[in-house]
Amino acid sequence: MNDLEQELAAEIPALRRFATTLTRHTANADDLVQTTLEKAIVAWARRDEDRDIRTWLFSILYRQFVDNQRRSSRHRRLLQWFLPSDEPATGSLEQQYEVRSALGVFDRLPESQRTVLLLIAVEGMRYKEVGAALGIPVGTVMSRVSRARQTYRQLMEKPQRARHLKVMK
Amino acid sequence: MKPTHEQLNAYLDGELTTAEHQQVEAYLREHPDVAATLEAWRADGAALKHALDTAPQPPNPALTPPAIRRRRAARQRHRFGLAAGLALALGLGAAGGWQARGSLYAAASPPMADAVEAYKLFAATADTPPPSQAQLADWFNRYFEGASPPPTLETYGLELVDARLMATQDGPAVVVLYRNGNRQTLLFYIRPPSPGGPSMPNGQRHDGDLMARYWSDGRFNYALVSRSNTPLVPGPELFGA
Repeated sequence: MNDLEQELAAEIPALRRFATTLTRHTANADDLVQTTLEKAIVAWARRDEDRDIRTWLFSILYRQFVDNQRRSSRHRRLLQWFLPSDEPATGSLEQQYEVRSALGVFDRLPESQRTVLLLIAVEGMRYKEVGAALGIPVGTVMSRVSRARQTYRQLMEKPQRARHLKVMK
Repeated sequence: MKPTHEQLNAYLDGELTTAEHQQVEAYLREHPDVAATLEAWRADGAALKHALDTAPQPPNPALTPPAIRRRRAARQRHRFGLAAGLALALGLGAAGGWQARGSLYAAASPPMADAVEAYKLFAATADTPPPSQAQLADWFNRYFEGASPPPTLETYGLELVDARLMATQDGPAVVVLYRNGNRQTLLFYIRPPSPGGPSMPNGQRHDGDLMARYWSDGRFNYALVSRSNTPLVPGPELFGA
């Protein structure tokens, strides 16, 4: 492996964690990581060298995730004409975890909160980097991580509230 | 002054200025209940990190950079093969004198369109290791016997950076990529002529901001592709034309 490949390989576990956090589905997550790595290899020469490689990779992955979401929601709308019921929930990881375990609670946060909590509390990224990766202002990062921690704590204490919290977003 | 939830989070994440940090610290000393909440948030984060760090990630051999690079290269070759095949099929009408369709296709597919396509495809990327000189020599002995091999162009500041074999419906083709210090690209393309047709006339044409100079020696058709404003080399004579 060359330098580029070694640098990319070092980030794969974090990319898979991020992708799983977003998609909540291992196979979809790996597809997302694969696409991200392909795009990174192509764009490597053009990247801003001052930019942290992880932030850069995360921003590619996140953009791809948002694109996929958009595409699949379009598909779903089309499919609704042909299918009697909605697609089954995308093999959620939910059932695998104890309700009150760290991962069980994490999995029940809305996507926007789950994402910032992962990037800040787990990956140790700065607010500015998170804002850059997700394409949102630092103020939004702050309010999301604040809400994420409160929701997380509430779910740890009262797991019953999970359902409607999730719906509320 | 009571800090907001956002400020408490920023404190926890080391995002406050020194002055703000000290203010929150002072507040926490006087409000142990708030300090306890903060400690719970911190512990939640640590537990989550531990859980995610220790959660097994099933090995996925497809997710290694070399595997991804190989797949990408294979896909690109495939895509190029299709494009070249199509361009060639159309180009045959123009160069091969299929009178009925020739005039129609001549406009749609000018000579050596596939060489220009190849330039567009490869000029942007060259991320698989190029073949060795020995491999290149082997390709020429095997597939392009009697063809003019790619010359060295160091005099023009150009280095041979990549070469790829392609499939066309008339047999193998090869694309050779030269690049200079300014990352300007020159592409040299060799492919067999269409069987039975008259040989391709020498010429030059422009496609967008690309320029193709092409000629034939009867056994093979050749093309040189570069940007119109930077031909990089004076002419096809260097390539044995």
